[in-house]
Amino acid sequence: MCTIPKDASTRERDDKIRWLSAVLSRPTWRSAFAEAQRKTRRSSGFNAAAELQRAGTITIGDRAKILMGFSNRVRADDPVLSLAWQLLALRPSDDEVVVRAVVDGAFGLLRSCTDGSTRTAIARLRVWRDVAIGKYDGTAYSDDFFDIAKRYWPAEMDNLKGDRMRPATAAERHPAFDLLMCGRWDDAFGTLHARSEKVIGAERAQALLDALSDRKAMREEIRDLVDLLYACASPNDGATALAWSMLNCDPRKPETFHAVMPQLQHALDAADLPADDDAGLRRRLRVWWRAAEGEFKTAKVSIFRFADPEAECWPDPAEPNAALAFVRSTPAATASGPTLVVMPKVKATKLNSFHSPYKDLVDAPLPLVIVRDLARSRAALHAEFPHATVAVDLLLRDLREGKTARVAPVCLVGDPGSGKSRMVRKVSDLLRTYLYRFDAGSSTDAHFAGTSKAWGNTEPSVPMRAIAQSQTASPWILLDEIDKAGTSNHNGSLTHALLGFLDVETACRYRDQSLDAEVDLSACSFASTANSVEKMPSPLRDRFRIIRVPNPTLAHLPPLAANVMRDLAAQDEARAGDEPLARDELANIGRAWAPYKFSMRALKSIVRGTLEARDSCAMRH
Amino acid sequence: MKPSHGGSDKLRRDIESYTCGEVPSPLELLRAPVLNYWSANVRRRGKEFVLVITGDVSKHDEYPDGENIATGAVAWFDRHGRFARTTARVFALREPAGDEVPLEGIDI
Repeated sequence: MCTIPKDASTRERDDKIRWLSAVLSRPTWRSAFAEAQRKTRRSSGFNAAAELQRAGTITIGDRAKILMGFSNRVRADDPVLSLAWQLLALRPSDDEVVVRAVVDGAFGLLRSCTDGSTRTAIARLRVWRDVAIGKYDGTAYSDDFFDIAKRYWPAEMDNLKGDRMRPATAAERHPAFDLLMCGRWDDAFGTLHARSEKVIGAERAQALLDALSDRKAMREEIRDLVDLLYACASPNDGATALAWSMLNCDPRKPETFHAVMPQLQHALDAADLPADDDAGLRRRLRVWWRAAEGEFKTAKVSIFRFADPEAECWPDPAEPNAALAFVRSTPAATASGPTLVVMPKVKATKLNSFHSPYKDLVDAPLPLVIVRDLARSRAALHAEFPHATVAVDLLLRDLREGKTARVAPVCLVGDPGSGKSRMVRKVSDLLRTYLYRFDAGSSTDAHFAGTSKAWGNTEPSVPMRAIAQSQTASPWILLDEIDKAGTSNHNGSLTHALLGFLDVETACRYRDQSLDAEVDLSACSFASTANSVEKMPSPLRDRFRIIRVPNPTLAHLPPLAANVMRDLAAQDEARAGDEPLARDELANIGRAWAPYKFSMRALKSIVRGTLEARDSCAMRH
Repeated sequence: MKPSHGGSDKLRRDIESYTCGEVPSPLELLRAPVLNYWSANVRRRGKEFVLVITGDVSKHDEYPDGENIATGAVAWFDRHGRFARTTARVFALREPAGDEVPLEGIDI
């Protein structure tokens, strides 16, 4: 999203991305080609249309090759243009892996746009992807992705509704509506700043940026600016002034909303917006109203964060723990939904000064994270771990839609690099549970269960720490490399410390020795990873459900390599334009991978190496 | 979309002019009912919210002077607290509530 202040390179990059999004929104391949050709001619000086004509009558397959040639030629100067040529080279009949690799790169790029709307382009690209994976038979209608996307993109738009991006119709909208859709104050400021730079002049714009570090000066600056804009006496400037005054609304001072809300509500009532857009704006505006009512007086974040349905962050009065960013993203953190009192008062003793973060937990009903969209999570995991679909299914076996996201203790066993820890992390991400990673390999004592209340610096058990940090009753605890835990019993051992947590029977009445309170840990999930079960003590082996994670094989190479490419593209925008791995490259990667026993870590570095090698001798085709 | 209010043409024109930075004319404010010791409050109307202003009214057609009333839904609230436009009329705002000194607070 927006970063401020925006430097010239960001703006230039945004321009390029917007151009790409415009190309993608063309109705036919031919017009998109014309657009790309124009740009190529301007920037690189060669005439793509003429070269295509020179080739004479060619098959459509040859055409793709020629276009890929164009893509290689412009890559060094302009990666975005190069990506556009790659997209133009795609056809609905192409292999799924090929299409997805290019389209995923474009997704990454379009989503990274800091302002301007790329939403329709993303919706269209989703159609491309769906055609490629065979969700619907696009080839029955046309052999032109652009044409197919033109027919189906409105439906995809509906699926995008929940996206954090702003809707496409930015042209004549009230600027305040765009601001309502912003998820952060900074984004809102950036959007508005870019928009009003022309009206207020460069000097004023700079003064605003200078005031960013000082909140009080900022408020003054905005107040002056609002007066200035109203003084311009034009409806557009007046609308912008209203939008600016939204930035001065502070949930801690409800009265700051009073001069904004009636105007805003009236503007929304008067505007003729598409139904879904209207509903989304009204939903957000209602949160603003609640702030005006004084509901979020103890808030620590801006009103924009509250109003963003993606970032649920309802305040907890007098919330002492600052590291609660996680809770804000947890749907279960909202008031409704099932809860569990982890620390009932009747079974707790007086807490001491080391336990201040736990005082709020006494008698507090903590939310339980609920499983939602299990089928989609399962599909995402299958796509990510094509070699371990059975393991994924076993891991998700205990989960039921609409029930608490808890699994009985599991232990993922497999060779190094088969993706065990990543799988647990992914599952917890998708379920939106909090994951507390405990490095069992370096554990040589019973510290997992906390230290006695009699000691100085006493610390509660790991599950209680996870609960306090997440403010949910059902965190996941990942015990990494459990087979490498120390075996000495001198200071107690992890094995013995763990036993009390792994059975629901004991976990729901666990007496935490540091808090000296009986706590209910029955909703916590424990997952562990190990390279072999032989070294695990038998009491642990009995309590964990063992799931074997197999190594990938050569057959899984194409999808896994495509996943790696996508990860790389997400980390590095220059990689977003990389064309998919060719057959000979895949063959080479496969040869290099085999000696590493098909480890995922090795695959990542091999793919990266391949791409770097490809870059260093760019004219491969 | 909400249906437009009956006779809302005047309202629409007024809001447009306020958007252009104008304020009601001195004459209009002179004729308008006045609210003293006012405070702005958010009220719920079903799912929706409205801003109303409560205060002691004078010069209102329908209320005796000095009566404590709540206005209808405010469509425009002046950012300097000088006036408020409800669906039906403009209110001139004088002293906000909370600034008056309580008698018992004064040490004589």
